[in-house]
Amino acid sequence: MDLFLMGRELVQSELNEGLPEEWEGTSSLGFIEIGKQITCRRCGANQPQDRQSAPCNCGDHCFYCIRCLQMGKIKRCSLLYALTEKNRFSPVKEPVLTWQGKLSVQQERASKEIESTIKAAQTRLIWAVAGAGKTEMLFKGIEWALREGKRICIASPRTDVCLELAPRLKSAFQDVEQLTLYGDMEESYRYTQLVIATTHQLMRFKEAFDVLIIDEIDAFPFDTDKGLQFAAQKAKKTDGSLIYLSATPNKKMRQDIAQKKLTASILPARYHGYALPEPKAMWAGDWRNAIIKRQKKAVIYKEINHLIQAHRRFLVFVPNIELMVNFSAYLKEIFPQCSFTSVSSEDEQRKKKVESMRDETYQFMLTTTILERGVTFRDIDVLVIGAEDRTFTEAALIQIAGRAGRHRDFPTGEVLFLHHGQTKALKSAIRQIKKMNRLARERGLLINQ
Amino acid sequence: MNCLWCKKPQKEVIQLRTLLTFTKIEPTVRCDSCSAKLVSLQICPVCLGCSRYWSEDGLCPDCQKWKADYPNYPFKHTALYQYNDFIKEWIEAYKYAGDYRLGELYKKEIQTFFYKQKKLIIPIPISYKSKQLRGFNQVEGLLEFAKVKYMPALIHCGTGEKQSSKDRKMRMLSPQPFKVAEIFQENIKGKSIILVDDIYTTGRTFFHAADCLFENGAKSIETFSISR
Repeated sequence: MDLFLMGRELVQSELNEGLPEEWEGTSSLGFIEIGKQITCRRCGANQPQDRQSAPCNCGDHCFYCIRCLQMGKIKRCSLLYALTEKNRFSPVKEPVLTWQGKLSVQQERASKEIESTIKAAQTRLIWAVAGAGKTEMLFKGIEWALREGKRICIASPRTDVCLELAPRLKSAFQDVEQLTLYGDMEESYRYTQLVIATTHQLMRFKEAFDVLIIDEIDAFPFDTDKGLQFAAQKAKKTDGSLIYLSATPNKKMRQDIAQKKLTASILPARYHGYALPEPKAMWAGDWRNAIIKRQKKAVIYKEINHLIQAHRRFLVFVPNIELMVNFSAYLKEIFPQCSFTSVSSEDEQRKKKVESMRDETYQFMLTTTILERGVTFRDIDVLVIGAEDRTFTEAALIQIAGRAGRHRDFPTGEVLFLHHGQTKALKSAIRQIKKMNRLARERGLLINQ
Repeated sequence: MNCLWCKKPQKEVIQLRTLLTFTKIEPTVRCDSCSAKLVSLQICPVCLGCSRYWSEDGLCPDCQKWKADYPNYPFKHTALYQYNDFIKEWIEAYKYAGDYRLGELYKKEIQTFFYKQKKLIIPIPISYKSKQLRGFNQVEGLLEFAKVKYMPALIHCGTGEKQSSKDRKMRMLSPQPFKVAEIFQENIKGKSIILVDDIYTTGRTFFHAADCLFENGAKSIETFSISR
């Protein structure tokens, strides 16, 4: 029981046994009330619209937090149980790091910076382009922390990122107990030194981690959800270190770097040493009309045909699901010989379809921004239809462009933004990719110059 | 207003007629695409006894079985929607996860059904254990949001084993869990009553409740549920 609760903050129903008689932890009410300011203890929500009053056994004036409801209901009268993290870990077996690979020059440098950030218990952003090899750079720092008996968490807003990270960490630290926490996990919680978790799961921790690493810091919903950001701060020990990883940090972070409020390591080159494919913007007229009214001669169909004729494999990004379905139906008509599919967030077979695309069963795939990050295909081109749509933010476009040329054997690929009028986001996405390539070239990190 | 269920913003169309007649504009609770996931039982042929989809004359086989045991029962049930994944998810979120707000999801339909209703409206009670766990009676919640006046005349004195965790056979064998609260005993006598529950599954709950009310002198009973 002690270990089950250590470093965590849980409601009654989350304790799998009752509380032991001797118990040195704390219990506190669901909300912190200071004067008129009422704050949810678990997610930090403090606006009146974040709470819903409801009848309750405790009396008349009870309410619950609707911001973190999906993690289980916290009422005004709920009790949250917490136990201070005491790092009860047995010493790790040597060698701690069982990974045998070799880091590139820029990875080596970032790896050293991460290690010293962890040692000094500071905060650092690793701004690394898509395909820079971020995970491997973390190993040295994690190794040091494990040996020191520190508790480490690697979190990401996205479940699929967590599930992809877990086996890589397992093979890098074979003798270290680790656990992956996410929404519908089947395993039950146990106390481990190394934790991989979605940022939602961080809500159940309190001052637990000496080292907290958050991957894809700019991904939905972490970028906009204050509750998750609160949870991340709470899950970390007050004297712990914090490492952010991102290929596309938001404006606020970039400003903080410029003003030296945030320490950052910038990695402009990919691990294989080839430049990022630079997207081309192409005017495609009224592409929406071309989909709805089935205008076979429109630019979008010509470009797709072009790629099919060249026997390329490619991804087509579309702004929303309705358009995608409509588009897909017409493409089936005009390219009946072609094998392709479409995938979206509402697709239950999403995982299977992505696997099939990876096995090269399909020649191309239509998708929404759901596949903008976290997926790697061997040798593909990328087409964005309606790149001016508001769903394609600067970060989304950079991530999408980053799908091409990720593999060592196929380091190049075409990225085409088809638009009906360029947006600021589109222009600055291209500008940022070019800037990264220039930076990489200046630092001598590219092999093909 | 955002849709209460999917949280997506929805467009409100205000008609000129509403403006000119100064009708009070009530924001719609559900968006059209969420409403489309509901299968209405008001516009198709249904069994009079339990309101399930039934295109033949007379009662459905389940109700005929009940009729054998309860020959004098009036068999008059109204359900709004067919039980499907949408209803299942709603029950999950409203009743089990305890998101009280979701009791408003069928407000309009409930208001329409109970509009100028003279009969006595009695919600099915929940066990002490469930009340402790959830903090509210989900049926009373539905009526509260719709501002329908009701009388909590029944009390649940069973063990509070969840009906939803039992199979049909077990449910049919479950003992009478209800009794009429003493203070309301006089109010029941000679009254026409509408019993309200969230879901009609086997009918066991309603028959138990009706039994109990008839014993206390109720004149007639009909039943209402969100889903069947």
